[in-house]
Amino acid sequence: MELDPASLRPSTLGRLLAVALSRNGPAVADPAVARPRSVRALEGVEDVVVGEESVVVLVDPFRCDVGALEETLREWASLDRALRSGVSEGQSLPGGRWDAGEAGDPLTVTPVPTRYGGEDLRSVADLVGLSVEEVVARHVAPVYEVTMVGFAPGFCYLSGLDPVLALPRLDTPRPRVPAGAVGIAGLRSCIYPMATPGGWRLLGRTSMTLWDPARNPPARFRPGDRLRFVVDPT
Amino acid sequence: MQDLGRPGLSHLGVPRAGAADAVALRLANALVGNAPGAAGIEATLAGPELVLSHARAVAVTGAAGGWTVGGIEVPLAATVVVPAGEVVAVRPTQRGVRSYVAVEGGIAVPMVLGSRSSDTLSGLGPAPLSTGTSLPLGPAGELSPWLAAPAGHGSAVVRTLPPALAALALGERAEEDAWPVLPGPHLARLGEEALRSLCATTWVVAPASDRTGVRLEAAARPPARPDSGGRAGVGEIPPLGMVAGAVQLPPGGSPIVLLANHATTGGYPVVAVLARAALGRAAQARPGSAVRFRPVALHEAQELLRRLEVAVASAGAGSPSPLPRAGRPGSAHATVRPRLHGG
Repeated sequence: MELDPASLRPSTLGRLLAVALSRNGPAVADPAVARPRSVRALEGVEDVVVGEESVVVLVDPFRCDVGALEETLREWASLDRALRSGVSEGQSLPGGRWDAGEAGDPLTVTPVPTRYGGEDLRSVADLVGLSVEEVVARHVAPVYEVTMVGFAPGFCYLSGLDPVLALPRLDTPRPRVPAGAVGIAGLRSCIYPMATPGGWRLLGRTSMTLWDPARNPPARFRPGDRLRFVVDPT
Repeated sequence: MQDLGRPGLSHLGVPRAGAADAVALRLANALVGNAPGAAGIEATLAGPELVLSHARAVAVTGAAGGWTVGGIEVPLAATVVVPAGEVVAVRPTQRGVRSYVAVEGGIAVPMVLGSRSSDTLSGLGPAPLSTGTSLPLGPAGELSPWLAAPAGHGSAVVRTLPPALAALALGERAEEDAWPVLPGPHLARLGEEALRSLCATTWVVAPASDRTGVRLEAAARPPARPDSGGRAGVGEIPPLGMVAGAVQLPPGGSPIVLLANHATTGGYPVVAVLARAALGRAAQARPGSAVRFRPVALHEAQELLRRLEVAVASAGAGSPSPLPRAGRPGSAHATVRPRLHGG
């Protein structure tokens, strides 16, 4: 990712310290840079949230050395550039690896049985000028990749949506979306693992359990996993 | 049930959760000799009733409209020794939203991912309390000679907070003051006008507000227009890590101020971020009440937080851990009482 110094904005005490926005497409092209222990290990750093094109570092303002943090983020960004240029292909990046078992399985495509008939299916069809059947056909066609787990425990951001279906989120998010809801927004699809607020346009619902705290790991999918939606006729 | 939540798990999608008004919980814990992060009860609007199996110190803070022990009125933001078997009744809130009840020893339900917080977004941690729930209590701390007060002879008030701290614990802040905000990370994208507009508007707290966030609506605005289907433009951003206090601006124009149980990431641009010192105040904003924002510089936000932390520490809410103590039964528990009347 490009780390734009102007975007390193100490935005609030304590929590949102740095937002590094990518200028060159997805920031995290390789999971090798997605969880830099070097950042996480810094004094005063509470959490590192890697988005598709950003990294947000949550800090304790009274314990964090902001200069050291910025320095580490710059190193991280240059590692990322090196990685993307192919120089470091396959090379081990000290402090930059995902924890063992956190990377997904790119070889398996998991079917996700989905009952179509979501609250927004009709309005999506109207907005993109297709029939409901065509919307469903275009939603089940691609193989999706989990790019990120966030928002809520086990919530999957999925890349691969047919661009014809690209619509922004709802202007006003719903206070409550049911568990298993399958939605779309922008060029992504998603699955809500549990009932939460949400602003994605809902096409259907799966009965698959995406988050089970009793399971290890509790999240059904990890970044890098691939899946396909399948019409569940029941 | 809330403590100070599950920090450090955002990358798994696990919300921090914890007390929405963390200062009120920390001060309640300080009053009963608990560590700041001991689990207490967060009651939203309603007033819980409890019975203790053993005499313990209890403190009630936040927005509670008062409380009684055995029918006798006792002060808020004070250490009160409650005899075994007496009914602790907290009245519903009248000004703010959330009341906190801390019991000496803390509530000792099992931890999930390092916390006893009820995560109301994702369902981690204990379920919301219901009538008849029996809550195990941790070992009582060696508070001080106060608690040697004879039990079984009615409640005894053993400590009150100085007025300034009591006001803090009860959320009695200058309600007219606008909420201090820092420029958000997406201001360049939204345009500086977005922050000016945020601060020039009088907002009203919407009923859909909850522990994930305070939803605001303009006090004077035509009815919400139909969903634009996205052709309106301001749009969304690639999903991004979020933080309590972030002021999200969905295209509909009604901002959402994220609270403790916010989702770990979000896709609406962040126009501003509430100064951390004002988070408790946002958590106590009652539906229907008016809200204004005022822009502050980073150094001012830092000074607000520094002063807040100094004040909280002066109440003993900065102490690292409760002192171990022997001699009190380990089987102590609190039982949630049936509600005898509405409200």
